[in-house]
Amino acid sequence: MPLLETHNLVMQFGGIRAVNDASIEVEPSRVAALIGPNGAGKTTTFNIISGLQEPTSGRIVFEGNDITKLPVHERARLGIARTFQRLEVFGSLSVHDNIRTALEIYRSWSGNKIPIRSRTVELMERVGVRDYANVPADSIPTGVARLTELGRALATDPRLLLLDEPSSGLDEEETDDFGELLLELAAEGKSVLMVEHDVELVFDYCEWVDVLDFGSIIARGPAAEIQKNPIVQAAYLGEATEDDLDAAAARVHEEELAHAGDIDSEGA
Amino acid sequence: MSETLSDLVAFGIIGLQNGAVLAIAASGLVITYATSNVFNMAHGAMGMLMGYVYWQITVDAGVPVLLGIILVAGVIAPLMGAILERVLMRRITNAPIVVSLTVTVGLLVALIGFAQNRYPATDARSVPQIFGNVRFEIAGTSITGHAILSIVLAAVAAFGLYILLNKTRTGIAMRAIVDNRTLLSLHGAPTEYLGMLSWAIGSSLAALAGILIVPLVGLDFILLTLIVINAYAAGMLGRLVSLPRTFLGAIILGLAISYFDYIKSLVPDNIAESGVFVGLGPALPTLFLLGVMLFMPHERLRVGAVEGAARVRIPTRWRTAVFSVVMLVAIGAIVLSSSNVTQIAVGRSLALGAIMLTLVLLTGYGGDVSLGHLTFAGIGALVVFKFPFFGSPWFDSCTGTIDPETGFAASACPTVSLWSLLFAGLMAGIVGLIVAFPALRLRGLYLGLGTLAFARAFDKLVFETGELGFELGGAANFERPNLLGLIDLDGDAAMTMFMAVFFLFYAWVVLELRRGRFGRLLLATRDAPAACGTLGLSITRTRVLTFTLSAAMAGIAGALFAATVVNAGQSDFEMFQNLPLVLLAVAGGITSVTGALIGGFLLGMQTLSGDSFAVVADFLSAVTGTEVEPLGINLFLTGLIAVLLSRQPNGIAGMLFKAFGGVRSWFRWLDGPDDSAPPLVKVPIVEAEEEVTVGAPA
Repeated sequence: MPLLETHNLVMQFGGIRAVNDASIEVEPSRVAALIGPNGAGKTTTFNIISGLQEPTSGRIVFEGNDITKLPVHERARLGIARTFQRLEVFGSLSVHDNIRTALEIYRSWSGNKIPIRSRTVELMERVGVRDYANVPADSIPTGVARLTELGRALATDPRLLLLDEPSSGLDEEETDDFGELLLELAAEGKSVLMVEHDVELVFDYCEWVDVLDFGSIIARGPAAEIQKNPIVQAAYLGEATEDDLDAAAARVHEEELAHAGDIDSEGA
Repeated sequence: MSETLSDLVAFGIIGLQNGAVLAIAASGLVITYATSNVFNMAHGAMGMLMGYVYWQITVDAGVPVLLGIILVAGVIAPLMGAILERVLMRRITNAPIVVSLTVTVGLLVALIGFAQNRYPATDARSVPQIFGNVRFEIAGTSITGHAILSIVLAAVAAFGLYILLNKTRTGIAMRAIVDNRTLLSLHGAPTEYLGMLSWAIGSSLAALAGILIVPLVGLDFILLTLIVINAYAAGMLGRLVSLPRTFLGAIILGLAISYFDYIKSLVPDNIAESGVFVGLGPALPTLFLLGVMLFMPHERLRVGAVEGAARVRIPTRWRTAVFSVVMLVAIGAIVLSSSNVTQIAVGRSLALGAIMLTLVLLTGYGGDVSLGHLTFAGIGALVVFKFPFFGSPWFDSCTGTIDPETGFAASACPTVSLWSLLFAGLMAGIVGLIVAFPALRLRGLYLGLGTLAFARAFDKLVFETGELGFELGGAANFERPNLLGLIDLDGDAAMTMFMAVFFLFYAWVVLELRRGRFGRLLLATRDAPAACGTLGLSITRTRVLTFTLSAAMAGIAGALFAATVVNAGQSDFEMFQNLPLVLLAVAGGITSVTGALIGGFLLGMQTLSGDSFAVVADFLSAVTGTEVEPLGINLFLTGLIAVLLSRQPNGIAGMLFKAFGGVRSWFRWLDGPDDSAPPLVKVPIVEAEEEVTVGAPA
């Protein structure tokens, strides 16, 4: 069973469909990416999954349970954590206290008597922000702030991590370290779904890629396959016509239906 | 036609007239908010001032009425609105809610001060109805020309605004300003002019409402200013942005108030004349507002950090201890060397400072604004007044007698005892919880509006009534406690020193909360509420808890305020007094304990400063060449200080911290033994600055 499924998500803002009938699945213990050009609807999809925005229609299922109507904090308590494209660090607190506060929040609802002090240091080391421990989070470089957000998200021991452009602001070496960290997390049984523009990071470390354009999924599959997909390349270069994209989206949709049919016949 | 039916028609027409005036006022408020993102608390005050100007032009100078209306609503008011936008409002469109509320509330208070000074209440003034002698008969009811004019003007305003905002390029561009001013100007729209235009229209509508209402309710600074509450109550039906719903809200409110008067004429006199029933009429708009808020859907968490979040370094415990001693010695020196009047003024300042400390917790750390915390303080005093029989083994208890009929004190000797203080805190906290719950589900502005409306409703339904409150203009004599039967606080010097200790106690409580887990949580919810939600925290619960705690603390401080000034009552805690309290708390520095102390003294010492205000008046007389009375100058200055300091997120305290940063470093040796924040790594890459402002509006 997939860890997360979204069914036919639609998000309408006035006359614009930011997300158009998007269905994605995230398998357990897997690093996956949701890619697409700017304005494709990636962050909106993340906001819908984490509960910050209510979809116009569609359903979100996490571990087999429909969570579409749950408030943000209850989804988090089920094991969905995230980082933000536009940074959401606790600016008045130090990097250390950002992570410490996240652990304290986690302890307050999980009843898990974790040792806050040592776990804070552990997490800072794991994401590589220990050098900035005492610096207020509103004075740190963007890359460090992104890693701080990652540390904070990990504090809640999530099963699904939604990372929104996590590598922007990181240099090459930091990006590689970050990629290794993603694999470690997957090995520990966590799933990662990230929105990312760094194509190398995506194709080096992700097992599975969904491609979103104009709110619709236009391609999906193993990273190596997606890399060669002409429609994806065209979409990224802005060369795909509307008809191409519609046809691609329709193809994905057909595959979905066929896949659903397989499941039905398996069940029968 | 039956008498009942003709009564219903008559009250309905009055209701429509009231609703029409309210609709004009409310639409002006909504149009400025929807196009500038600044909620203009001074909207009613602007209408009030224009009402006086209209009186001066038409009644005093004898200019014909129609020309007067055109001059005031068509020239003077739009000019005022445009200038305000140009010099003030433009700078705060993206500011945190506490800043925009401070500026507009500051303007409100300053305008009242100005009007009080310019138009002393001692002179009798009245404004006749427009077309007062024209009357029409409808269904056996006589309608004045003034009523018809009001309804027609409201319809014209509704239609005109609809056309402007939906059918003209200018109007559509005005609506776009609020979303992204820079982007709009990059597309070639004259944003400077558009912003001024929307404020000019808003101001003109405020003036029109003022002109129409003055003949009905008379010229009264406060009453006219408070129309803003009725206006935003109406606007709330359309979430302060929808004009059609605002009009609907205004008509509903107008009719409700009118029919309430009708019901009052039907019920037996003893009920109709009871304080609570009398208060229910004026409280209707605020009850409507709170009701609408209760049914508004829960607002979603927003992504995007608060702009202008600022912080002040938290002092270590050693520093706090040393400065506590220094403050005690300083207050002691003042008390020993001054008269009883000064001693009480100092004690009063400390009590007000303690109330402001509860705002440091709520607003400074938590980022939520309350315009009703003095009302919670009043609840504390009221509880001591109404339940004076709480004795305790530690404090001397009151020996007053209880009225067997009411169960309340007959002859008041309400003593402030430990138990009565705790009870005062409990009751204020419970009321705080009830208020917080509907308002905190919504965004910051709504909490500010909701708390002010609550303060107004509480005035009318409790404080001003004889049954539950102090009575209108009423006060009680409070007896000061005797500490452990050893230290008698009856003397002014002793009570003032006790208040200094109490202030420090509160300061320690607030600082300890800030240093600990709760403080981090508060800052986290303020800085990035969406992130807190995605970590599994229920933001609403944290905010409700903070609000309840700060209301309870305000209740206790309020009871001690009453004991300090001895004679305290309705006028000390009325809604309007909340405004200078918040303004000076912000001006002093709402992010720090020092700021609360400064704010407390700025407000508390005003009772002593009559002479200095006279000096200001003499100075103004000399400069302007006309006689200027000291009347209203304190309010004018309070508003002015708040507006001028609104761009200092840490107030006067923050400026002092900056100016005396060098002196501070002399005391670095005090930072040694503190363990509140153990340094993990001693390689800070960026030196933490004294005060950091993130993304402050340009």
